[in-house]
Parts: sequence; structure tokens; C-alpha cells
Amino acid sequence: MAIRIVGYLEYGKALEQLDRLVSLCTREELAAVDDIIRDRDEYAVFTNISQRAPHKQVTTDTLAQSDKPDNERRGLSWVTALACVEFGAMLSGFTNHPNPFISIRPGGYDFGECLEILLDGTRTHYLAMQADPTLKRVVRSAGRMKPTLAYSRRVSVARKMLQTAMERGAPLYSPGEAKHLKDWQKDLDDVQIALLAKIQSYLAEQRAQDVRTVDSKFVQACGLQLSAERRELRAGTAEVT
Amino acid sequence: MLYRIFSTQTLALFVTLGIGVFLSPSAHAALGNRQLQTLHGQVLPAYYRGNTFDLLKSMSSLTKRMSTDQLAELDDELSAKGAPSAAEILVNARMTLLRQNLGRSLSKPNRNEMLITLDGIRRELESVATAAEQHAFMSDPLPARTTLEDYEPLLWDVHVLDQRLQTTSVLADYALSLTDRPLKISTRSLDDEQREILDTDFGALKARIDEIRRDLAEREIELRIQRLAASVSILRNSDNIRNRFFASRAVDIDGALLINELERREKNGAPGFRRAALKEEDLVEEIDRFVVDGRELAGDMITKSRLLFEGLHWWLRGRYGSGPDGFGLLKSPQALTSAEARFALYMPTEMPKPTDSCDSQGYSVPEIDRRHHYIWAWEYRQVGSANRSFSNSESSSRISQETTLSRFY
Repeated sequence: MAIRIVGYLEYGKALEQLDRLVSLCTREELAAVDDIIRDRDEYAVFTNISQRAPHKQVTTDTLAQSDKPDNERRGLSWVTALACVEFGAMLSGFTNHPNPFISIRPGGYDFGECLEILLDGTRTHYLAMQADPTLKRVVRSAGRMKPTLAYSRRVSVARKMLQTAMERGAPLYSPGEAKHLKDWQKDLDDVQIALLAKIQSYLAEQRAQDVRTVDSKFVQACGLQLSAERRELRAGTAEVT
Repeated sequence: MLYRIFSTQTLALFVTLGIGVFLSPSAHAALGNRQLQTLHGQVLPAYYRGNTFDLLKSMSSLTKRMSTDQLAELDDELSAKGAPSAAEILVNARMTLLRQNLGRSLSKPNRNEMLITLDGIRRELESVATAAEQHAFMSDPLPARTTLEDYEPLLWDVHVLDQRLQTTSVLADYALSLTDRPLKISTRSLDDEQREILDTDFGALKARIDEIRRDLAEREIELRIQRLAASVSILRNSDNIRNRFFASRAVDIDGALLINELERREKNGAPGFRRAALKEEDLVEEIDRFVVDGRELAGDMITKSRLLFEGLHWWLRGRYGSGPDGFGLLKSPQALTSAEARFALYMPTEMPKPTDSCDSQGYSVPEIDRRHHYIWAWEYRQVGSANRSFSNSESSSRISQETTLSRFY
């Protein structure tokens, strides 16, 4: 289904071509490429989008917030960083790919840029969900499996983004920033556990009923969700509290 | 005390019932219950999901035998839900699918839909043809260029214009397929405007579009030959890496396109060129010479320029492209099986200049600042009601109720 998402094919192909270009070019050639891209308005990328997210309470985290005066970024590494994060998010939300952000590597030519966009995206999802009354209602209410599944997907994407940022950017964070990330991780884990518990309860109820429920797409979808979570628990990247 | 409470509650109950009775939907005199169910259970969900196929199918079925009064009431219902009118939905859905070359999968429109669709196609053909004829690229001499980079926006304009003409030509073919046999529509029941629609000469409109495309194609060939010559000169005389990237790209792409085009014309016995610059006797040999020299001078820059510009082109499609479904976030379901549908996207006609979504007052460019902010809400997995049994039979009918999560913040 990921193939239907606009950007999945496109960003994937873009990364395939541009990463190979970087591997072949001399330093002077890369500088010329950067120059070409900087000159074109259409390749400008804006960061700090998480500023727009509603803030439930005053936040003191400085993560994903640049100290530059404006949010506009230009150049090859920003172009590839955006593609990397968008593509990775699609992989993590709609496929079982075990390492959706595989191309974000310390030492990579666009690593810093990837990390900034990744953290900004994580923060946006985190703050938006924190302030979202619909999410709270979905968690607390019975039934409403469709929004439950959708939010569970959102939390999966956010958790994967956060996990990548924590693991690969670990040496770069101050103790305060590392703690903020840990707190976000715990909050997201709690939400996911609550959503999964709701799905499990619904499945148990379906099995217990004396009717044949053969909505196979739903049962399969829940199974996929649960098996992905079980994988994470086994890998130690998630825990049940 | 208990009696008083009971009385108050009973009074409240009667008042509520009374108000309910007073406001009962006798206003839906024109639309029946089944029609309302179809509207709310099929049409509107398909609209909110951005599923063009289902939308067309359900709306077409709903409006098939509607009277004018019923259509008017339907439009009111749609408006109350923030949706466009039935006519607009039908035309847009059908034309969206036609533009994606999915006309063969469409059922023939009913009478009401036929008139609406033909009118929509007629307007589009005339509008596109007029705009193309007045385009700056269609006048002589061709627009001036001073640097190699100046060719790029011109060729982009040509590409956009040609794409638009091509999809419009598909619409013309569809209109011809609808009108090439006698229509089972009584002309006595039509007003003047409707008769005018049926009298439209779609063949002539298509011929006009095809003529514009032919002229445009020749102009593009002329432009590419000029760029090819300028590129070879740069590769021969300049060390500037930036310019060499552009020149290598031009040699690569213009060389291939020109050679293929000339070979194709020769093979198909196409009529000779009409533009003077293309009538030279040794045109093919000249282009061949440019390409051979250019490739030799460019060396490995051919591969690198290909990776750069193709990579950037894909990136632009990912950043600014819009699909036909899911309010632009999704491609059609056919993308799962068809390479053509996987590739098809709506792209802006002018190169966008992005804005900071934190500064924008409402509308930002692109409108989708990050796709991952929104796509999580696309929930395609079917969910059944907890107390309902389902059968394996494909003929079992159930009304799907889906929640669309449109809220992000």
C-alpha cells in the first residue's frame, strides 16, 4: 500500500540517484552541485516546523530548534535529508522494514541535516498528539477501531523517528536533551501500549463471540501491528510498564 | 419530591419529543430514505476519502433518475457537508480518471451525466487550446536565451504545455467515443444550451489541439538543437564545473531525444518539417556530430549529470506532486498494479517557491510541508462492527462507515 503514497516512489528514486552521485563526485564537483541547488528556490527546505505545534505547557526543550535566525535551508544535504526522513517515515508507517532510516548514518555527508529534520518531525508529532483531544477520546473509549489503528500507526512512526534520533545522535545531546528524549519515548510507549491493549481486547472479544468474524483485513492488520510490537519488545527497544 | 422530579422529567421528555416531531425531516420531501443513505453511506465517505472511482460510481448511480427538484435538494445536502455540487463532483471525478488514462474502465454516463460531462470537456478543450495558442513559446522568434541555464525554464514550459495538451487530447477522444454513435436523448427534452453541447464538433476541437502539438514539437526540436550546439561549445572551451554539468546534461538528453525523434519521423513517414531552421538537408548528420563530440568531451560528467538532474527531478515530484486521491496525498488504487498510474502525478505548472509554514498566514507552499505529518491518518484497513456477523460471500452488503481523521493539530 505504501506505493500509493505520493512521495514513496519519488523520494526513493531521488535518494537512489543522489546518494550515488555523492559517491562518485570529487569535492569540487560536489561544491558545484551544491551551488546549483542553492541557486534554485524550489529546492529550499524549511525547518523548525514543530514551532507550529500546539504547546500544552511551556516547554523548555531545545531539541530540534536551531539557533539560526531563519528557518530556510539550502543545499544538496538538505535536499537529501528531507527525502531521507520523508521516505523513512513512509517505510516505518506502512511497511515492515526493520530499519526504515537506514541511510541516516553518523559520518554521512547529510547526517547533521537528517538529524535536525528527524528531531523536528518527532517533536511535531509528539506535541500534536499531546494536545490532541481526539487521541485521548480514542484511547479511553471502547470500539472505534479505525481511529485506533490510525493513531497507532502515527505513534509507530513517531517512535521509530525518535529511536533513530536517540541512537544515532546520542553523542551530540546534552544530558538535559537526552532526558527530554527519554521522556518523550516513555510517553509515546505508554500511548502505544494503551492502544495495543485496546486492540487486543477487541480481538479477544471477537474470538469469544459465537459468530464468525471474517473481516480478514482487520484481523490481519491487528496481527501485523501486534507482531511488529512484539518484535520491538524482543529487541529491547520497547518495554511494558 | 420524587413525584415532582418525575413530572419534570416527563415534561422534558414530551418537550423533547415534541421538538423532535416538529423538526422531523419532512424537508426531505424530494429525496427518499434510500437516496439519503446512499449519499451519506457511500458518496460522502468516498468524497472525504478522496477515492475518485468510488465517488464517481456512487454519485452516478445516485443521480441517474433524479428530477430537477431532487438534484437541487441533493446539492443542498452536499453544500451542508462542505462538498461541491453533484455536477461538479461528477465532471471532476470523470475528468480526473480520464486524465489518468483510465477512460476504458469507466461506465458510460447516464443522460444527466452525459450532458454535464460533455459540457465540461468542451470548455476544457477550448480553454486549453486558446491558452496554448497565446503562449509566449508559440510566437516567433523563439524566446531569447543568454546562458545554458536559461534553456531550462523554457523547456519546462514546453513540457508542461505539451502534457496539458496531451491530456486534453485524451478528453477529446473520450468525448468523441461518447458522441460517435447516435445518442439516446430526446432533443425535445433539451433546452438551447444543452442542444449546443450536443452539437459541439469535438473532432474539430481535437484537430485544433493536435495541430498545436505538432507546432510545439517542432519548436522544441529547434530549441534543443540550439542548446546542443551551445553545450558542445562549452565542453570544448570551458573549465567551469557548474557549466559543464549543464552542458553534459544537454548533450545527454538532447542528443538522445533528437536522434530518437528524427529516426521515428523517418520510420513513420512523417510529413516534413515546416519550420525553416529544421529544413536543412544535413540536419541529421549535424546533430550526430554534435552528440559524438559532446559525449567525448564530457566524459564521466554524462553519468554524473544524469544522476544529478534525474535525482532532482524525482525530488521535485516527491515534494510538490499531488495525487488524484486522498486530497492529493495518494495515487489511485491502480498504482498498485499499473506503472503508468504509479508515475502519474499532478505537478504545479510554474516552478514553486516554497515558504516558511511558520510564517505563512494560512496558505503555505507547498501546502503539505511534510507528508509524514498527514499520511498516518490514511486508514485503509476495514473494520467491522463488534456485534455484526459477516459472511465470506462477495455479494454480502454492508455499509462501510469510516472515520476520516482530518485533524493534525
